Amino acid sequence: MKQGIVTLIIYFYIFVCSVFLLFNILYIFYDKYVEKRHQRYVEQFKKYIYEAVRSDNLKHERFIKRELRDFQKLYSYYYALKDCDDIRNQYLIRYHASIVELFKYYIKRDNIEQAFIANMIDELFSECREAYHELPVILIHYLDDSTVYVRENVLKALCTLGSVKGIEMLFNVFNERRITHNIKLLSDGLNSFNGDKREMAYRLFTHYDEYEGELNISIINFMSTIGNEFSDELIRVFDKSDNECKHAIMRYFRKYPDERFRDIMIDILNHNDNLSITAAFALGTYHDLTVKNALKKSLKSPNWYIRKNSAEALLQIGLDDDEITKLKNNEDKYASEIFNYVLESKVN
Amino acid sequence: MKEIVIEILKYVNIFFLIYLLIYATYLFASVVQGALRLYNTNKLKKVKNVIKHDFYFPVSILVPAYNEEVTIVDSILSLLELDYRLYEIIIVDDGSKDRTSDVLIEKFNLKKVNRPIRKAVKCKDAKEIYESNDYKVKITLVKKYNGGKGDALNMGINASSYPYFICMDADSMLQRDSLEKIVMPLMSDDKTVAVGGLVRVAQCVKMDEGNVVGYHLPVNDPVICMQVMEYDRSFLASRILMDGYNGNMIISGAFGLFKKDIVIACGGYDTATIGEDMELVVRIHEFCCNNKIPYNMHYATDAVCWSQAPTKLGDLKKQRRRWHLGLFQSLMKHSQMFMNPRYGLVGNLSYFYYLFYELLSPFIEVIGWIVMILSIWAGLLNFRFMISLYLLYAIYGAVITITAFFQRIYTQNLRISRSDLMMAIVMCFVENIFFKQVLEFFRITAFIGYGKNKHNWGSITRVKQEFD
Repeated sequence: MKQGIVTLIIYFYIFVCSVFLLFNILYIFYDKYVEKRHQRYVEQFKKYIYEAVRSDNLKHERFIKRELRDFQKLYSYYYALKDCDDIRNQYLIRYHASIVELFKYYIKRDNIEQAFIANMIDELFSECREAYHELPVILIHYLDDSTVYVRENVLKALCTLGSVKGIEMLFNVFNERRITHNIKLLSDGLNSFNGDKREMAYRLFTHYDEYEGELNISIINFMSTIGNEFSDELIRVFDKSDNECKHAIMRYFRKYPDERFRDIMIDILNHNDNLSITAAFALGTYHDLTVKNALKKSLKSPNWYIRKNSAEALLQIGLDDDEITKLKNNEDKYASEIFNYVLESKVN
Repeated sequence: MKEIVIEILKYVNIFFLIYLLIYATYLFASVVQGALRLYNTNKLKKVKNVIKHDFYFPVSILVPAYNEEVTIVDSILSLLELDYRLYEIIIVDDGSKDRTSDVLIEKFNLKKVNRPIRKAVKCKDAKEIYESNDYKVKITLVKKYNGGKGDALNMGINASSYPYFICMDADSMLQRDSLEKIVMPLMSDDKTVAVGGLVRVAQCVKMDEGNVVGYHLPVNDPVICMQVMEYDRSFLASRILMDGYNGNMIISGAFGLFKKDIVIACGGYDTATIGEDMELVVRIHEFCCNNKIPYNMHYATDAVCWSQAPTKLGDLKKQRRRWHLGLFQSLMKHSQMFMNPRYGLVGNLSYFYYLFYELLSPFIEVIGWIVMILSIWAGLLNFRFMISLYLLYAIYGAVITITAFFQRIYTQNLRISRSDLMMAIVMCFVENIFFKQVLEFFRITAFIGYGKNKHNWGSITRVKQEFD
C-alpha cells in the first residue's frame, strides 16, 4: 500500500516534470513564433504610421485606442514608432488624443506594462512634450502599487517631459505613501531633468520640512549639480536637518565653498563623530589658516576616517615644506602614519 | 530477535519514505520556482523593466589568493574589463609559497606603499602593501601572514574603501556585466545586505574581454560535465527557491556582494571555520534577527561568475570535504537557530533542509544501506520494487537536472551544439545514477582527519584557461 503511494507520487512528479520539460521546449518555439510575429507587426505598424501621417485617419485612431490595448501589439508599436524618426513628432502630435486615451487605459493594467509605457514616453516623447501636458498626471497614476521599475521609468519620463509639477507630484506621492526609491536613482534621475532645473530645485525645496530625509538628500544632491545659489537655503535648514541631510549639505559646501559655513564645519570637525568625517573631507576646498589649523588638530583624531580625510584635505589646501616636514614627523604616531601614506599616494 | 528487527524496520521504512518524498517535493518546487523566476526576469528585461544608470554604488572587489600564480593575472585582467564605473580591486596574498605576489607586481607595475590599515575586523598583520593607479581602477595588493581564507577576506575588508564589497575566488572570472547585475538588488531594495551571484563552471566557456564568446561541454572530461549539471540544479533551483522567502544560507565565496558595515558589525569572517562563506551568511541572518534589523538577502541570477571546477577526483574530494565540514561547522555554531521562531523561515525551513538533506544525507544513505542488508536478512526486501524505485527516482532526478540545465542555457542565450545537447542529456542521467553516490562518499569521508589542517586553504590544482 505504502509502496504504491510512493510510486504513484514519484510517477506523478515525473509526469509533471516531463510536462514542464515539454513546456520549456514548446515555450522556446512559441518564443520564436512571437519574435517573428513581432517583426511582422513592426513592419505593418510602420506602414500604418506613415499612412496615418499622410491623411487624417479615423481607422488609425481606432487602431490606437482599441488594438493597442493588446500589450504584444503595443510592444511592436513602440519599435515601429522608434523606426519612424522622420515623422514621429508630427505623428505623435496629430494622434495625441488617441494616444493619451490609450495610456489612460493602461492605468488599470499590469505594472510591467506601465513601466514599459513610461519607458516609451521617456524615449520617444521628449520633442513633442508641449502637446502632451496630460502625461504627468497619467504617469503619477501608474505609481499606485508600483514596482521599482515603474517608479524608475516614471521618474525618467517625467524628467524627459520636463514637468516641474509632475516631479513635485511624484515626490509628494513618494513622501505621503512612504515609498522608498533609492537616493541614487532619485538623484541621477533628477539630473536628467529636461526643463528649468533651478525652478524645480526651488519648488521641491519648499517641501523640505514635509519630506522624509531620503527625498531631501536627493534634492540637495540635485542642487549640487546646479550651482551655488542655494547656499542661503541650505544654511537656514542645516541645524534642523537629520544627519544624512547634513552630510549632503556639507558635500554641497565642499563644492561651493561659503565663508559662512566654514565655522560650522570646523565646529563639527571638533566633535569627532560621523559628521566630522564629512566635515574633514569638505574643508579641503577652504583655503585659509583657521581651516588648516583645525585639520592639523583633527589629524590626531581617534577616528581613522577623520585622520585620513584631514590629511587629504590638508594636502588639497596646500602645505609648505616646513609644514609637511612637521606633519611627517608628528609626535602622534597615527597622525604621521596616515599623513605619510596620503602624501606618498599623492606623489605616486 | 528477528521480530524486533522487523518491527523496527517497519518504522525505519516509513522514515525513509517520508524523507524521500519531502526531498522529491522540494526538488520539484525548487525547479518550478527557479524556472518561473528566470522566465519572469527575461520578460522584465524584454519589456524595458530594467534599471540602467551610468553609475551605481562604489564596490570593493576582494580577491583572496593563496598559491594562485597560474591564474591570478588572468583573473585580475578580467576584473579590469568590467563594465562598471567605480570599483577597486584588492588582492590579499595570504602568505603564498609560490610567486603569486611577484607576478602581480610585475604585471601591474605595483608600487610599495606604507599604508596604514584600519583593523575594523580581526585579521593577521600585513607584511607589505602595494598599489597601482595606472589602470582604470585602483589595484591594491596586500601581502599578509598566512591565516586562511576568512582571515584574508577580513584583511580585504579592512583595506577596502567602499561601503560594499564583493568576495571572489582568485581563479574565477566575472562576466563583463556581472558587477552591474549584482548591485541591482541594492537599487530595488534598501534593506539588502547581501547578494549572491550565479557561479558557473569556467571550463565550459570561452571568454573574450569579459564576454562569453562560446560555450561547450568538455566532452572528454565527465567529471567537469557532471559538475556543470550539479551546479545548475543547485544554483538555479534550490537557491532561487530559498531566495523567495529570504532564506538562503549560502552565498558562494566565489561571487557574493555584502554590505560592509553589517559584516563589520557581525565581526567579519570567522577565521576558525572552514566554510567561512556560509558561516558569514548564517551569522548575518542571526545578527539581523537578534537585533531586529530589517534585512534581505537576494540572489542575482543574471550576475555570472565563471569559476574553475576541480578536474581531478582527488581535488573534487578535497573541495567537497571542505564544503561538508564548513556546512557542519556553520550549522553547529548556529544550532540555536534550528526551529527557533525568532529566526522565521531561515531557522525552520532552510536550516531543516541543510541539516537533513545536506549535512546528514550521506549518513542517512549509509543507514539506508544497513537497512537494506537487514531487510534482506529479515526477508522483507522486495528486490523488484527496490530496483524500480531506484530507477524511477534516478529518472526523476535526471529530468529535474535536464530541466534546470536547459532553462539556464535558454535564459542566458547560450548556444550549444547538438553533440553538447546529447552529452548534456546523457550526463544528467550519469550524474544522477553514479556521480551523486561518489559525492556522497566524499561527504561521508569528510570527517576523517577533522581537526587536522582545519584552517588550510585546501587548494586544488589550477589550470590556465585557454581562450582559443
